[in-house]
Amino acid sequence: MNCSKKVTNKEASKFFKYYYSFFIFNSVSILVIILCFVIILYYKVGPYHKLYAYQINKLNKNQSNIDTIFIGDSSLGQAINADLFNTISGLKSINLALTGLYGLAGSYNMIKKATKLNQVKNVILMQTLDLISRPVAYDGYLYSMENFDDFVELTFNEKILLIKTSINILFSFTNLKRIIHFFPVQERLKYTIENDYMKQVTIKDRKKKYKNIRIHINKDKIIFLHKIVSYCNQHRINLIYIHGPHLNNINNQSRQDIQDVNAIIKSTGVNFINKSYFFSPQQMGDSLDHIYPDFKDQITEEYFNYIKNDLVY
Amino acid sequence: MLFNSYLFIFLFLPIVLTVFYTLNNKELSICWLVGASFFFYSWWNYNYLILFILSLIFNYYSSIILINNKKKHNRIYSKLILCIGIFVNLSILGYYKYFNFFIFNINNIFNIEFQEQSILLPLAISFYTFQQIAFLIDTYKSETCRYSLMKYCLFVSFFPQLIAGPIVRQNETINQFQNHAFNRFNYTNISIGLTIFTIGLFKKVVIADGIAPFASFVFDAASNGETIYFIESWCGALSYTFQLYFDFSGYSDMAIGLGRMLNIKLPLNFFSPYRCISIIDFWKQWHITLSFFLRDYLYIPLGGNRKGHVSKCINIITTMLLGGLWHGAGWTFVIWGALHGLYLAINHSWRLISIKLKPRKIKYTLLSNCFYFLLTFVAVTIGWVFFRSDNLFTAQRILFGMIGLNGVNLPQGYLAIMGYLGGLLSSLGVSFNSTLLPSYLDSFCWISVLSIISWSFPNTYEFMMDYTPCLNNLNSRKKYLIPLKWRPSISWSIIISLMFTASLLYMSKASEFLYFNF
Repeated sequence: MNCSKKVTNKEASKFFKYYYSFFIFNSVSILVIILCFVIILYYKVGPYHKLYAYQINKLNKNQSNIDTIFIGDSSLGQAINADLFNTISGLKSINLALTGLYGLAGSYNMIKKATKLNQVKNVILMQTLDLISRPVAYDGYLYSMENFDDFVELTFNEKILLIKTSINILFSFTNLKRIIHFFPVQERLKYTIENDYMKQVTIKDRKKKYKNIRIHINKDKIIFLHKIVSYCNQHRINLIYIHGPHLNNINNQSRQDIQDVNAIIKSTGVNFINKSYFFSPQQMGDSLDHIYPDFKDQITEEYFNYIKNDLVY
Repeated sequence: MLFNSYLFIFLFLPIVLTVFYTLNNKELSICWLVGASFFFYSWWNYNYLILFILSLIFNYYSSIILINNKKKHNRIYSKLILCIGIFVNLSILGYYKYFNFFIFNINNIFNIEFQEQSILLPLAISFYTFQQIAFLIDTYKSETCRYSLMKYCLFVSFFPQLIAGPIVRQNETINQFQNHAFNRFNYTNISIGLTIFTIGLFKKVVIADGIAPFASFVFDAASNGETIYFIESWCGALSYTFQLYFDFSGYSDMAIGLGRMLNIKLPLNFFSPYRCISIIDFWKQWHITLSFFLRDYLYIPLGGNRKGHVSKCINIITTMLLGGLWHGAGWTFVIWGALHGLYLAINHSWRLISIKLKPRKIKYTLLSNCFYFLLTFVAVTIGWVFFRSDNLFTAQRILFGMIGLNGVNLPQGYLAIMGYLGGLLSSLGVSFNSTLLPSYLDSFCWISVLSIISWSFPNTYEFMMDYTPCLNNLNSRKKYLIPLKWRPSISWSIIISLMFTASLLYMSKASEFLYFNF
């Protein structure tokens, strides 16, 4: 079977042009994709870049004025009113909550940023329960990296995984969309800041949304918690870990899983506060780990009571 | 390594092509391709590379014994060698693929507790075992020559077709390795190969992976014991029907495209099977190389149609049942195979009856064609429900939904949108509180668009018919005038480049091909 049958010169020339034009068009496309990626990294246009920029601005405005930072995901952002916390504790705190996408990796970068600008005594780390089910947030690390040192400090395996994640983000279709949204008008983004965090969306039928929640544990997912513990120990910062608030039916469904999660967190040596953090459906907002805005102050007081004896004044 | 991964596209493939065309010696190029194929295979799990190589060596030397024995005319000895060869191949396949299935059923039937073993199914074992059994049988029938070990290894391990076919026979590829222009760079072949590969990549990452979530929502919910209603069950079944077609035909296109980039034409594996108006035609256009394999190495040795119609139907059902079992060690696959066997038996019987009743000629009108087409498509879709389900209970839930036993349920918002019609439907017993699919409109759109594409658009090989894209002669399949044909022009280059770029952007989460499991 001869695959390379004779083609006429005219046709050979057509194939020659076709072949090169294919490479030229694709090279141009890939260059555009790379350019988008560079813009994304330079301006840190992550999926929640507006929130990220808001928290960084807050940190910069309060330079040298902070002794306590709240770090974590949206469960923290929706639950803790830092101003109220300051009033009842007498500490000077800010809430630097990001989202679950940033994970513990993003939290680690936030702690490093905050401690460079302030004499931080307390770091209160609050994340959602199923954090350990999620993949290590290398994308969150990438979107919150400050400089190349953040890359250098990673182990070889972590660097490889970060590069792999970068390649996936590099070829992500959403990059183009984000850039389109970012440049002309930043305010075009769907969510807005309200009550010191992202505004909650309205969910019509909460019960449906909350069914069949399970936590699948993967012990390898806490490498950045180890880094946070080690960083805080090194800088003599009092680190407190506490779960964010959750809907109470998760407790019924995943009692054993929650115990396993707690055991894994404790194994890192962090000061883990194991108190009740389950709330009724009426107290929950647009997600199973978002407190309804009206209850934010009440939850802040409850959480203060949980951790008050462990704070450094 | 997946064809739809950045590692494969930007590193493995360019290196393989560059070295292949740089080496001036044909034998060296063959060695290089064998090495590259082994590397490609071992990327998944290097431990099973040893099993693969041992299997290659065993089958190669078995074939050498058969060839040597041919000169001595000792037929009994040849038969013994062939039987040992087939037995060893099937034993390895049986152990890795069916051992736990066998133990599970023995335990259930006799209420005993034999320990199941933790066995990881070696990648592509079903494909390379079948290919090598075919080679042994062909050698026994004196249909092969004596090839070098390297050529044999390349024939079986050739990375474009190693993992999920097309299943090739020795006379289809080994002759091409001997071609004097085998490792000569050729713009025509590279361009055609790149085009077919890109179309396959697009089908996989944009289309198949795009519709996959809708199938998963429904089948996962059924697997969790949720009630699946009429519309949802059809959405799930149809989504999977199209997902599987675009996934597997996309893979086959990529394999054929890659082969062409390396100056090798691979056989056709798909030719718009959902357009068929009978199950017999469907199996001539779906996984064509497997169908031919089953026909030549299972159905015909079983007796084929030599002993009358009843025997023919039994042979068809047996062949398809074993074909189903080849796809996976599970009762769902067995039922899927048996179901298709039954379909084929009914179809053959119907043809026989039709010919006897109207011996002169059977008239196919547009209306009857539409009926046959719909009947075939629905029958195939029902088969895919078993194919996709984790177990029989999941399949049962979906099928009950499809025949309306669980009622009809639409999303809550639709009641307001439908207005008077919503009220009417509600009075007829239609509920409006479904939440299973995240977006019903999206799933309807996907299914509608893919139906149009797979039923009325020309397929990759019809597009490229003028440039002999695969090993088969496509002229016999040319049934109508194709308005849109591929040409090596700048405009087509832009279209294919856009498809390639879109695929790159959509494949950031590389997903496995469905047929990797088989």
